[in-house]
Amino acid sequence: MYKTYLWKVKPTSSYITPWQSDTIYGHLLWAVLFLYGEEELNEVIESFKSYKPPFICSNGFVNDEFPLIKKKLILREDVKKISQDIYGDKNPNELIKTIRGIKESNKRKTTGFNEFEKLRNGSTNEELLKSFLKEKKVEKKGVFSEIPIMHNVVNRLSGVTEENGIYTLNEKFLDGEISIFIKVREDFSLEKLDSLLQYIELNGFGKKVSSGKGQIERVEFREFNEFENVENANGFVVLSNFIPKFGDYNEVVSGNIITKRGKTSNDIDTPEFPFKKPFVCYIPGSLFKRGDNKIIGNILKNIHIDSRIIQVGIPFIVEVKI
Amino acid sequence: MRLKSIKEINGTIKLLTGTRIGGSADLIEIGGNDNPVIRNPLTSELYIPGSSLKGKIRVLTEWLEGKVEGGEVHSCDKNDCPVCRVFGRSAQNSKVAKSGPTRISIKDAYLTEESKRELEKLKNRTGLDTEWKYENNINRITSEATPRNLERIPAGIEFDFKITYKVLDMGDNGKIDEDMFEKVVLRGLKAILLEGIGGGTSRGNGQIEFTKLLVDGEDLKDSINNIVIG
Repeated sequence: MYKTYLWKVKPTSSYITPWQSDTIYGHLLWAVLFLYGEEELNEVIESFKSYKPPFICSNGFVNDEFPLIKKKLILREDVKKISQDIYGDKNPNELIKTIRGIKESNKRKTTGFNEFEKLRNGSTNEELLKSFLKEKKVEKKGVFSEIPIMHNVVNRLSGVTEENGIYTLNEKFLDGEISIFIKVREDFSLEKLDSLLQYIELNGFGKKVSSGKGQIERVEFREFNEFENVENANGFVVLSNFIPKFGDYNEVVSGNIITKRGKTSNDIDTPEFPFKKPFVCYIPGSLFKRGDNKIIGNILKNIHIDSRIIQVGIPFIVEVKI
Repeated sequence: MRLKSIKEINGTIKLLTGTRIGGSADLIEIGGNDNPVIRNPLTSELYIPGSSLKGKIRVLTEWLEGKVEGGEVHSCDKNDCPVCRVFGRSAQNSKVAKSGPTRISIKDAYLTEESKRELEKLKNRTGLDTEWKYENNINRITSEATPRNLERIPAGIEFDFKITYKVLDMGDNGKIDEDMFEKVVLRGLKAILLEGIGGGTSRGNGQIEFTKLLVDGEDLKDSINNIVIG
């Protein structure tokens, strides 16, 4: 049995690495090593390998925006009816307005918590579209900007920038908060998890923490019971990067994939080659009809020449009535 | 390998002279500022990037430890190299040295509330929250001047900063890291007090003092001031 917790953090500096679940798993596992030693780390890794993960993490979601669940595409033949439902059948110009609105709506990648919950509970994308077209109000909280920042390497002898010493890093500045949902196995110590999170808060997240990037402070860490139980749920949406295994789902309703090439940390006696083999995973918002497996997701072994290294693709999922 | 402790330095930097940590000019305007200082793009607030502080402390430590050779950033595979152990090394060297992760983490330094108010007042009075300093090159024969302007953060402004330092037990109960905290980190802080931060320190920019310096809550301001370099 698992309980769901919310870990909400506020960036206090720019950050470079996106808040993806596999990176968060990596940070937690490194924290286990540093705080509790190698034996404990091996135990945790074994739990993942045997599909009894002590914790299951979501990606980080900015300012309580959730991925938009896409149950069904709006088809061309539906457009006229949608237009009539909203504007009536009086003016043909309204049809153009509807099409423009649909185009605008299609660009949305995220939605607020209330709409997310409605979609989980059986609302259709068409209903959501209609209310979007009527109200045209999308509440956006916080400000986000990703810009290249120039850095330079100074020659130690001349004191000026080295030839080819100027480089840029794409840094993300966020005036807002990041929410990470974590399912915690009931027999796993919450205090221990809390200490792992505190370590990340103190050390920072992602690339270049030693020069101040990825600094965060905790907003809250609490039990989260706001995901409603969905009656007659027949599917699930993933809120993490998801590597499936056989039997996880019966059908992909809507899915987006990315190819990742993970990198090992060079913090310890890591091997000759830092990169893992490339792999493909679904990203948050991907929607599936449920299969028979109890724990969804896969653990990739042999992802690297060092056989100790694994890739965790177990996603945080919530049920959906499709 | 196991984490023994994380030391935390909390301090306040006061600028004794105008300080310049360059940002990038998005557009070139006639009469505009070609050499802006770095700002948070969301709030336009001034800050001192952790990378600038870390870079300066690292450079000075490399000189102090005799690790400057060809002018390039020092990186070696010696397990107990003070520069590499504290500030980090290339992945290639890291796998040979097996010394664990970079120990130091220097965070961005942000304006204190009091300094924010002072800059706001300055902006209301002059239209700018910084100082535009005009400098020029004089041709030694013709006396022709080539002027330039650069932006500086005014003297008197204060920034809160934070540094964390990991002490790892690598089979030595953390002794090497404890020693290096004194030898490298505290000495490095003293070195930037003497040398300054940012650009143009050789002509007086970037001189600083610590108005607060707590190491795990203990006031070490005087101890840092008493460190003798060389």
